[in-house]
Amino acid sequence: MNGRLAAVCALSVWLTVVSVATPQQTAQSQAPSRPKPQVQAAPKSARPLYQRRGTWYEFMLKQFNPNDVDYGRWFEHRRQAFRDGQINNPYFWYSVSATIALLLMTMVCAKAWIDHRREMWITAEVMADVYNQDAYSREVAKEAIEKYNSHIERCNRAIEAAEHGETLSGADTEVEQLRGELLRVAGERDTATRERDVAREELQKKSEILADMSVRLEALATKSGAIGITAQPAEPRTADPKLVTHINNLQEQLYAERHNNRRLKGA
Amino acid sequence: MDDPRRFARGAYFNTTGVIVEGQVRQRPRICGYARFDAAGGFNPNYPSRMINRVFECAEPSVWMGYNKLLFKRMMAAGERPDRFFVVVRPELTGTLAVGAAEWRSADTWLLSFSECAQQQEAMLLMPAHSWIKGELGRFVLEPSGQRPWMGRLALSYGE
Repeated sequence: MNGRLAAVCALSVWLTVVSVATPQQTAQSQAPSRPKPQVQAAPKSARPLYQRRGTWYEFMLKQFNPNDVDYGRWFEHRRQAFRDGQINNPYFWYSVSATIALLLMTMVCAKAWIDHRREMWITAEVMADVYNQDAYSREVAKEAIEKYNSHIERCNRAIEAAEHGETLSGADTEVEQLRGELLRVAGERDTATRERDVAREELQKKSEILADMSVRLEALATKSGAIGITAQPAEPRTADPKLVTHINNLQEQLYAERHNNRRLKGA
Repeated sequence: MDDPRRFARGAYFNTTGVIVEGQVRQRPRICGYARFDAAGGFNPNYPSRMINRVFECAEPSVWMGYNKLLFKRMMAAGERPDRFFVVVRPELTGTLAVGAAEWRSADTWLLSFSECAQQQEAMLLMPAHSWIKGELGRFVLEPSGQRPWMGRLALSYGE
């Protein structure tokens, strides 16, 4: 933003300088027309017997500058005239300063106007939001108040009906619905209870069968010895800690034997 | 599948393993597992919170050829445990001579053991002051005096 502002300032200064210089330039531009005849008259007065032909670049230069005008001298002359006539003139600097100040003031005013416009837009948006929120809040409050009023109205009607020993039609249907729902839930509960009892009985039977099988298994194990027991599944509840320890030791021994066998095979 | 609380009643199993080619493999030499029930207070999302906690367990058993230890439920903080559930690796104790005579005290129970190349991992159930022998020496399980539910394997001097 500052860079853009600086560029605009520089452009405005340049325009000011150019605009001030332009009248002088137009006035001075007529002056070099005078030396033209002098430049062109010289070859006519002393024409050599044998004329030297120019090089190709001289020919090209003549195409662009056929009158052989010395633009360097012309520019220097104009620059000197400008310096003498304008730069050293205090009125010139006063007008330049005033112009720059006016341009700056114009830019400041424009920026202030743009900022103000932007602020007004933002304010309008905020106000619109506030207004919408206010409208929404009023709507919600209205709904809540209506709901509350209808509820209180129904309560009042119910109290009045109770005082007079009557029943409300709407409440009656609601009670009927709730009663039906209660009966349905009670029925489901009874069904679930029956199923649970059946499952419990089955589980009890299975537990008894399992216990019987465990006893038989233990008897078989005592007959066949401890070695064959590790492959048989043992019920955790009936597992003997000594038996488990023995199995654990046997597992270790088996591991050690396998390790030794592998070592021997490798050897 | 319609049970909305099926994950709350989930069971989680843990066993030993070793790292093979960057991945944990079981490589079981003695098969066994510990079972944790979510209904008993085990939360698999926070395994570190399960360390140094006391669980009520079933008696160690053998089921389908696998050693099994069931962690029934988590006890309240401050309980004194009967046994400690310990995992041992050679980085701590040196190579374990599993199967050798007197490599562990008689009251310990080897739940699971994995081995591959020079790597080992053993899962043991050890009472306080029981011990195991590794390549580095004898390690005794010492419960903390202030917090008896915490134990550590300490290298003991002498036999």
